[in-house]
Formats: sequence, C-alpha cells, structure tokens
Amino acid sequence: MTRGASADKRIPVTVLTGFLGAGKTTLLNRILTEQHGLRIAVIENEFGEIGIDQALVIDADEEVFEMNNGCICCTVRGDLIRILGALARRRDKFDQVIVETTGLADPGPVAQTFFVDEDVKDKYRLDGIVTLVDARHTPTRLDDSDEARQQIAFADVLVLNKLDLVSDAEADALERRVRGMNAIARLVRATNAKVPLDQVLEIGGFDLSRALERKPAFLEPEYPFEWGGVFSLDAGEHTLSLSSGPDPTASVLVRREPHEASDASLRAAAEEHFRAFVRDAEVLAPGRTIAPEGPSVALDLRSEGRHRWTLSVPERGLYTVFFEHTPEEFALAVTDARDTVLEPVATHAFAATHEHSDRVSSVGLRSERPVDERKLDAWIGKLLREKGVDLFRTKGILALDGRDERYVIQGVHMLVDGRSDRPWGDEPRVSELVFIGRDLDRSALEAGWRSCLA
Amino acid sequence: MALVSSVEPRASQFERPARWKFDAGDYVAAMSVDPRDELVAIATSAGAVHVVRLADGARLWTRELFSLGAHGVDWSPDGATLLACGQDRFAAVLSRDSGDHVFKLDGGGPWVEHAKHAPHGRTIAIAAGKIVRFFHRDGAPLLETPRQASTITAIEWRPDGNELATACYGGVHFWTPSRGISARQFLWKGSLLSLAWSPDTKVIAAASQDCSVHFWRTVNGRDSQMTGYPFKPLALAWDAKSSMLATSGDKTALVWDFAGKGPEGTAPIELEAHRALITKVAFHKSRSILATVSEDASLLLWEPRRTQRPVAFGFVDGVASALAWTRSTGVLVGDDSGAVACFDAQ
Repeated sequence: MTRGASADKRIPVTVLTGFLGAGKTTLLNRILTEQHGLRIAVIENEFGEIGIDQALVIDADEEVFEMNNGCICCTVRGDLIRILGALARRRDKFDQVIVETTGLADPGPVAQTFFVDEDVKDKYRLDGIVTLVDARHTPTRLDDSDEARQQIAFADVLVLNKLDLVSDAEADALERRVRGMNAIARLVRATNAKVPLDQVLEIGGFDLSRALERKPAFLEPEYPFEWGGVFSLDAGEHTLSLSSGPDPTASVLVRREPHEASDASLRAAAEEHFRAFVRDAEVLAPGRTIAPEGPSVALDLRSEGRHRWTLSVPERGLYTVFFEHTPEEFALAVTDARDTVLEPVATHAFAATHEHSDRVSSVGLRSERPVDERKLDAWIGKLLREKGVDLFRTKGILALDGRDERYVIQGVHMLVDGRSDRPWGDEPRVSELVFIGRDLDRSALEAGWRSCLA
Repeated sequence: MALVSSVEPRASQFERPARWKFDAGDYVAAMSVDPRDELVAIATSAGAVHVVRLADGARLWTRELFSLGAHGVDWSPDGATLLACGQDRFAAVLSRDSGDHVFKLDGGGPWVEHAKHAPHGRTIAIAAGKIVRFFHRDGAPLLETPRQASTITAIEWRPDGNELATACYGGVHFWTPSRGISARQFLWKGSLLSLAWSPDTKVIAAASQDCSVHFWRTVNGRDSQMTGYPFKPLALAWDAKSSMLATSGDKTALVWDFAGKGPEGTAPIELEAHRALITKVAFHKSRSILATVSEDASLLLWEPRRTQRPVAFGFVDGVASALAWTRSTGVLVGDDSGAVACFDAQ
C-alpha cells in the first residue's frame, strides 16, 4: 500500500460509519483478517464480536462534548482524545487506527476531534471517513433520517453494500441519489462488505482532481435534468418511448433549438429553459401528446413495460429533449412516423439537482487562475462562521498566487486545516474547491470563489 | 546543548547531573514516591510496574501487570502496599517488598484510569469510565457512585481524606464515602481534565479542554477561570502553603498567586526558560521550590517568589512524561523513552 502523504508521519485514522446492519462489523472483520501486515487498533463503541490477535480492540464510550461553551461545530469526542492519547504513548506504535461509530452517530464530532484537539492533531491524521450504505434500507432512511444523510455527506468513501439484495436498477437509483448528495466520495459497490482494502484504508492520497475528472459535470451549474439531446425532426408526429425504470415517473421538456446542434448550444439552451422544468409537473399517461412548449411533464411509468408518447412537431427543425434522468436508465428513444429510431445530433450530460429533496448536495468550484491567499482566507473564514453548521465537508487543492506548492485544505463544519503539499511541477495549476453541505447556494459560492481569484 | 539561556552566570554550577538512571522500558505514565522515602514506583504504558530504590536506582521488583498499559501507582499512606491501576479492568494492591498481589479490585469498566488512597489510609477510590468505586483498605467494597454523565477524568482526595472530588464534563462532584452520596457539586459547562486541591482545602482547581484553568473556592462555590493558555494546562500544582498554583499549558509556566486578594485581576508570575511545552509541574512537599519538566527533555527548578529565573536545571533523554519529588530533596523525572532519572535539588 502506498502512503498517502509521504512526509506526514502521523498515524492514519479511518472512521467507519453506517447505520446498524449496514455491514460495519463485517467490513471491520475483513480488514482485520486480511493479510496486510498492518498493526491496527480498533476503537469501538461497544464490545463487538471481534477478537483478532493482530489487532487491539478498545472499547470506547461514545462521549460527545462541546468545546468553547456550546458551539455545536466544536463538539468533539472526549473518549477519543483520551484513548488516542494513551495509544500514542505506546512504544509498539500502530500503523492504523479504525474508529467505528454507532449507527446513529453524527460523524461530525469524531471528525472534529482531529481538527480541534492539539494533542490528537499532533499524532494522528484523519485519513478518511468510510460510510457503509445498506442498499436495501438506506433509501427509506434517507427520507426520514438526518443522521443517514449526514453520514453520506461526510464520507470520503461510500460503500454501497448488500447489493445482492436489490435489483440493478435499484442500485443505480441509490448510487445516483447518494452521488447527488456527495459528489466527490469514492463509490465502491459491494456485497458482504467485500471491498479491496486499498479502497478504504490509506486514502489520504485520494486525489480530489481524479474525483473531479470522473464527474466533470459536478463542476458545472446544476440543472433539474441529467441529459439533453438535440434531434433533427420533420414536421408531424413522432414517438418518444421509454421503458419502466427505477422511478415511477420521468420528467421531460422539449424545446425548439433555433440555432445549431452543439455542446455549447445545448448548455446555452439548458440555461435558457431550466426554469420550465418544474418539480410538480403534470403527470402524463402513455399515449398522450408532448408539445415543444409549456412546462415539463412527468411521464407516467408506473406500469411495467415499454410506453409511448406522441411528440408533436409543428415545423421541421432542431428540437432539444431535456430528460430528468439518463436515457439509458429508461431506454429513451425518439422514432419518426415510419418507426425509425432517430439518433440525437448532439447530447450533453448535466449535473442534476433532482436529489435536492435530500437538501444535501455538493458544489465544486474550479479555476485556472491562481487564488489570492488573503482574499481566500477572508472569504472562507466568513463562510464558515456563517454557514459552518450546514457545511459538512470542505476540500480543496489550490494554486495560491506566488506559491510553488499545492495547498491542500480539508474541513469539517467550521474547522478548516490547510497545509502546503508537494510542488506543482509540470502539472497544470488548477485550483479546485468542493463543499458538501445542506441547502448550499451555488451561485453565492461561485461569486465568493470568483472574488478570491488573483 | 545550550538549552537554558537565562541561567547565568556560570551555568555549570546550576546544572544538576542525574544521580542515577533507571530504564523502565517504555513511556513512563506515572510515578509515586513511598511515604518512608525509600522507594519509587513507576508505571509504564507497556503495562509494567517497577519499584526502584531511591538511594541508588536499583530495581527492587518488576511486575508485568496490565497487558494494555498501566495508568497509575499510589503508595498506601503507611507505605506497606502499592496500589496500581491500568487498562485491564482492575486495580491491584501489591506487597511493598515483593510485588505479590495482596488483592485485586474490580474496576467495573475496561480502563481503570485512576486509583488513589485516601490520605488517612482507610479508603481506596478507583475510577473506570463513568463510575468510581470505593473500597475499604482491606479490599472490601464500600460503594459505587452513580454513572456520571461522562468519563471521569480525574479524582482527588481532600487532604483530610473524608471527601473525594471527581472531574468530568460538566463540573466537579464531591463524594463522601461514609455517606455514599454526592454531597455537592460545582457545575460548569466544559470538559475538565485534571484536579488539584489546595493543601488548606480552600480551593479546588481544574484544567479544562478549552485551554483554561477553572477554580472554585470550596467554602462558597465561587468560581473563576484563567484563560489564554495556548495548550491544555493539564498539569497543576499547589505549593505547601496553598499560596501558589503552578500551571502548564505553554512553554512558560504560569504561577497564580493566591496569597493576597488574587489571583483574580492579578498577573501571574511567568517562568520562562523551557524551549517546548511544559508537561508536568510539581512543588516540593514543604519548601517553595517548583520543578517543571518539558517536551524539551529538561528539568528546571524555580523559586517563584524570589526570582523568575530557574535556580537549577538537569537533562533527561526524551519528552518528560512524569515528575515526582522525594520527601527530601530528590526530583524524579520519567520520560517517553522509558528512562527515569533522579536529580538532587540541593
């Protein structure tokens, strides 16, 4: 296994969260029994069934208290401070510490302990928060539990576990939903918590930029649709057909595209028309007609099988179909009067906001211009003071004006820690900053970010 | 090593070489000097307890007691037995001469972090997690406190031995083992980490996670807080006259003056010479000499009422982690490498 941060001699700590029954203990047992040569200390909240020779398992008493008289953002785990302190004294040092939290625990105080307590900070670094997501029960829990949403939002790694208990479509829907909340976590699919160790331990080197490459749309403005496709259509009646999929309805908006069919025009059209994509759209039964005007409609997919709607085209031209989901999920097809399938002449995948019912989302910011350190300090400081309660994680790799090293920042609620990293070298100096939080205001964050650019 | 820049002139006359050194093998977690002034008990994070002669540092006995580390050692007031506690759910009462178990006390929780004899010797208190258990000196259980709101971080007997103070998140609680109830409490919304009762019993001081020292006047519960420490001022020590409270929390030791109207509204005496964070502070049992040790691997001796410069110094091998005075003029310093060094303050 490669060390995440070579110069950092502190002991890495992995925090394992997830609701009861999500598979934390199974994963822990896997980690402990696998031949990795690491000496691991496990801090549990209660005596579990783990009894492995090579590991030290310590019983902790999940004990949260507030620092500085009452600020919720400064709650820490007192038991962790004491236990980690005692562990650090031992001569036979550990290579890795794993902290397992109770199912309902808010990961905030655990994470904050690594930012607030000087003694802990000195000896340990928070390597990552791994959240196990029970594929079967999490969708319901996300509807009714703040704790479940927080555990998703805090994660550096999301393990979608117990996938053998759900259909592929349900797994895809869950993945989309958790992605909508936390766009930068590494996503690992698993059954029986079977996860390669290097996906959950020593992820400190986990590069933000790689996460961003994988999901470039995440850096763009968010729209209520995930996909747009431009079709060249003759006047007359066409057919839009969909198969039933992971959701009972799928919304669609059709608009005339007056200019051209390109990626750029699609993005411009998205910006022009997204307000017509309404949340409480009229539900349209199969067989009815979709017109290239008016607000979006929710196509009714409650019955199994393939369904068809009429697409009425007043005059020959380019038409853009904005679709709530990806076309693959519902096998979206546009056919002409002779039933020939028409290929779109241009398509674009959009960052979707349709999970905003969860209120938790990610906002990514990016710039090729260097960042002014003082302006950034002032902006981030104000932002965290005012919005810290709603900001679960802040992560960034920044090219500060006048500095040759990458500057890496990590934060939990109001607490942010920044340090210089390796030199940029030949790498393009691109600054990236990501927030995961509740009710994030993307345009305000973008404006703030722009004000920090040198 | 040009460590103590402000010791001058002729620094060598102030340097105290170690009289002897003992290798305890691992991080020295705690030390206790026996009341007859003949032995020192040493607890290590590897779990061993060593008993060493003060005269020459020779080992009397060693016991590997706790597989996950020893936390504390405390001699009985008559010096006949040693009380030791650690991470294996128990405290042990051991014979002075051989280290053999006299009896074991069940802590009721996995980490027995504190174990102390009442100064009159009749009662033993041990704390594990959120409870304290009291035992008669012969090992008979007396009573157990209700589960506290959070883990007990410190216990301290009132100098007369009739009351035990415990610290945890939310304040200081007082227990009278003969009555079995929490007689009173001083509440404060914060996490308290250590306790120090003034020898005259009039003030109890506590270090706080919020990098402050909180103290209460025990007569009326009136409290004050000293803030502004850059780090947690975990180590607190009173002088024999209850007139000075020395505190860690920085590389400068602060000594608060309780002799006059203060310390509220007064400036503390600042003792500045260590190069790194002070880890332990201790006043001599009867004289106004203060010892401080630090992460800089040095011992400094001070007479705070007389001068703000150190009056003597010595060196150890690593980060100092434990400090104890003998009844006479010896100072013992344990460090994170497992070395215990004995210095003479004279």
